[in-house]
Amino acid sequence: MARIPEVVRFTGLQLTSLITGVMAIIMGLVYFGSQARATRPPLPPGQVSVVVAVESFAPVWPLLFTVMGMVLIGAVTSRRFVLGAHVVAIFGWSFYGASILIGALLSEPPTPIVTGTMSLFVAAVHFGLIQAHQDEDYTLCALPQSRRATGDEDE
Amino acid sequence: MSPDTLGIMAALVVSLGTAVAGAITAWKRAPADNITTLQSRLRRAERREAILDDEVAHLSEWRIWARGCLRMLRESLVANGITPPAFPPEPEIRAHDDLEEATS
Repeated sequence: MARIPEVVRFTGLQLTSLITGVMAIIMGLVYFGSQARATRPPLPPGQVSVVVAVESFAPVWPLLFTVMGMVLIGAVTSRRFVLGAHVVAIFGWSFYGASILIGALLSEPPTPIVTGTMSLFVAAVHFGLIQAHQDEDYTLCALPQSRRATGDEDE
Repeated sequence: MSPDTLGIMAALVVSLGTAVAGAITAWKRAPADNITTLQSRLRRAERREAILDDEVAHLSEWRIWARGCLRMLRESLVANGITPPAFPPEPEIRAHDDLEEATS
């Protein structure tokens, strides 16, 4: 069986981080693309949308999600700064989630909070991934050089 | 302060707070959990003697690697005209002795 090149041989944890990076890029490119913004209905009186207010300065959300995804994918494929990339992802997702939830709190009547809640939990998943990467990296440090590259363990 | 500005400020505080919390917990977790993780693996290995020898071999290699790093640092000091301190006695560089004791 042909051997997979080392550069694309990922552990399960690295693959999960890679998928979260792809997810962020898809979020940035599609969900917050020009079509989504163009079809957004105007806010009724008394409604506050922090998401829209943030976007009034610049296309913050598409940029944030796209950059976040690129940073994650770059970090995982280069095996460097993975923890830092996940910290950036925590910031991005919790900023988006908190914007929705706080905007909902300030609105009369309260607006839906499903997406905000999901986003905060995605941030929590990134928080957990940081801890998991710490465990995996230090566990791999105890392996000999020849096996460290592949991440093979006896367990 | 308008509700929009208040909301943006609050969202920034929450997100920066969680990001900093993530960075701090990751930083604090590293050394302690490293030992804990390895200790638990070794305890499991104790119950499976077939793996035990292999685990101890890994730790020995780790110590050899640590000693090589020390030697390299000493050589770089000498290359820069700095007299390196006396080579540390064996107990000081036995970083994983507690793990070996756990297996004995």
